[in-house]
Parts: sequence; C-alpha cells; structure tokens
Amino acid sequence: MSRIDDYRRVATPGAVDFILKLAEQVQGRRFLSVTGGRLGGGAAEALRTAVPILSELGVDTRWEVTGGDTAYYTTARTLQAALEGEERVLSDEGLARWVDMNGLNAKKLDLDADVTVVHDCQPASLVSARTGGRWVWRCHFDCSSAQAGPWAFFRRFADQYDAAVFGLPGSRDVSASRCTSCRRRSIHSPSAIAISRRAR
Amino acid sequence: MTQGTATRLFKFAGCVELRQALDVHALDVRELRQRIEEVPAGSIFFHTFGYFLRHRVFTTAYGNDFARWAANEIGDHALAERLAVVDPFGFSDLDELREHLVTILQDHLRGHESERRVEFARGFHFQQSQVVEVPLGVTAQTLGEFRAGLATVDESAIYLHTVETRARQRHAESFADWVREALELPELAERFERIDPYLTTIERIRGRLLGLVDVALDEARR
Repeated sequence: MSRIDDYRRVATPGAVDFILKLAEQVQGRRFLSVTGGRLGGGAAEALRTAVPILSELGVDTRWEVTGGDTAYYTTARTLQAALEGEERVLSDEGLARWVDMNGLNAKKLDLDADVTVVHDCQPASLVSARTGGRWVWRCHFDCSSAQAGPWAFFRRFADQYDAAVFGLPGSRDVSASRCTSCRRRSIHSPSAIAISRRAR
Repeated sequence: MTQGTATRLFKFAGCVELRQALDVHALDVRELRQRIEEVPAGSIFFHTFGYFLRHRVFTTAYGNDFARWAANEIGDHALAERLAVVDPFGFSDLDELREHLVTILQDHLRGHESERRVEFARGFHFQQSQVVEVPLGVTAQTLGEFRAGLATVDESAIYLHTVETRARQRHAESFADWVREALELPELAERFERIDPYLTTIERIRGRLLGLVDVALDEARR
C-alpha cells in the first residue's frame, strides 16, 4: 500500500481520490520549489512532506536550495527581519552582495520548470533570472509591518512574479492580505499572515 | 416513482477554491456597508455562499463572513445576529442579496452613533475566489449508480452540485436538475431542492440526499 493510500483511513470519503484526480490534472507540468535551506521550520518543513507526496502522486516536482557566503546569509536574514517589521540596518553593499549571490545561484541551479515557487526572502531575487514558465512568490512570514525602506528595495523583485501566495491566520479566515507589491494576483492558503497597507 | 435509466449520464465533479485578496478593507461597520456596495458580485458570493465550502466540518453560529466579523472583531452581537439570519439561498441574485445586507447595516448604523473601529489586522478584508471544477471520473446512469457516487465522492462535489450550481452558472449539473430531467423523477428533485444548506454542513447535506435516494429506491422496489 502506498503512503497516499494510508490517508484513506482518516480522510473524509472521496478525499484521497479527489487528490489523485487533481494530480492527474497537472500531469506533464514541471514544478519547482526554491528555498533558502532544507532544514528548519516553515517552507522547508512543509516541503519535506509535500515533495515526496507529490512525487508519489506522479507530479513532476523538484526542490532546489540557494546558498552563499556569510554576508549573503546575514543580509537575507536581516532583510527578512526588516520585512517582518523589525528595525534593522541594511547596507547597500550587503544588499548588492545578496543580489549578486542569487545571480550566481541562478547560474548554478536548474531553474527550468513550468511553475517555479520561490519561498520567502532568501532566494526571492532569483526571479530576475527567470527565462520561462510561471513564477510565484510564496510568503510564509507576516510582513504586515514591513519597514518602508527594505520593502521598497524588495518590491522591485516581488513585482517580477506572476503571482504571490500568502497564508491567512488560522483563527480568522476573513482577515488578511494584499499582495502589496505584486499588483497581480494574490492567492491565500490557510496558514499564516497578513500583508498590510503599511507595506506598500 | 420508478427506477429507470437516465437519458444522460450524470458526471460527478469536485472543486477547488483559489482565493484572491481584493485591495478592499473595512475597519468599522460604516466602511463595511460602503464596501459591500462597491465590491464585485463574486466577493459577495465568496463571503456568503462560499462560507459553506470553507466551513465543511462543523456548523458555526454564523452563516456568512460578515456576521462572523461583526461578532468576533467588532463585538457587536446584535448586528452579528441580524447578519447571521440572512439566508443567501433566499435571494434571486447576488445584487438582491447585496442590497439586503446593505439595508441591514444601514438600519443598524442609524441607532449607533459611536462606532467601534478596529486596527487593520482585525479589519474585514474582502476576497473573491475562483472555483475550479475537477471531473472525478465517477458517473451514474441509474438512481442506484447515483447513490453509489453520492456516498463516495469528495465533499467538494456535494458543495459544487448543490450550492454552486444553485447560485451560479456552472458547467457541472445540479443533482436536482439531473434527477428531474434525465431520470424523470420530479418529486425526488423537489425533495432535493427542499434541503436547506443554510447553517448546516456539507456532510449533513450528503446524509440527507442519501436518505432521500434510499427512500426513492425502496419505493421503486415495491
């Protein structure tokens, strides 16, 4: 018995068959997720479960991870903290290093896919190297109180995505969000955040 | 009532909902009224009919997002109650439903000069959604086959073939229409249509539909 079939014991009637049908709908499409690491919580935790299940469902799914030097990681962490609303100082040099390192990552990684989902802050500027397919930014954190300066910087990358996906607070399914940067589509999934007018 | 072969196949379909945030927000009841007047009809649908798809497992005290927000964020339980009793299935179209909601809010505002205003994070954030139909590959040509499908399909199919098809133009066919037209069982179709999805759960709707089908099958056997 495969792992997806294990869920039949706990899922509502027809739920597993429905997931199999959904998987059929995307046969032949290549999906890629990009994160800033394979360990830890948030996106990596979700992908560690989702990627094997999607593969088992026959969905062509890959997962790439960006990397860099100490300055790269420091800037990415600081940038995300500033987007989460913390008072942080970001130097022009540090930000330029972050962009350059992601430029190198774009050359090293296989970004050829029909749908590329880039998770959170660290790999976000990879979108500048996009050559084809649809690109989606998946924001797992709450940037409702983002610092204005860092957001203005980050927005130039966010604007290059075809869509952005945000979570919703579990306790309040009505509250949430706007894709402040991307004037395109913002789609919600039932997990975590809110993007505010402050982050415009 | 007899059991025969339908003049056309019933094709069960499930659905997934892709939510989209609108750049429209309300931080107090006055703003809620204004925004309800302005938002696309799809957003009114999302916050009323769509509530059933998002609250499948248990029945809540509110039948729509507006009532829930009034209770949980504004803390106005009188208003929440007035909004909660709005049955979206009782209106011929979304604009009529919209008008009714606006009237309730207008009436309420007349008696309340000082309005509670909430911070942005607790505001009412309007959304709309795209419901994507997914054929399940399950079909029926007799009432018996229909029962088998009804009992086993994903609950999103129950929502699609009852709530969505009743409120919006869909590719999928409603259970009642198929039973009436293809199986030529108008009485059963009428019983299907008498099931009120308001303030219940999708699983309970499934249970009631199965009960009605079982009675019809028993009658056909006699």
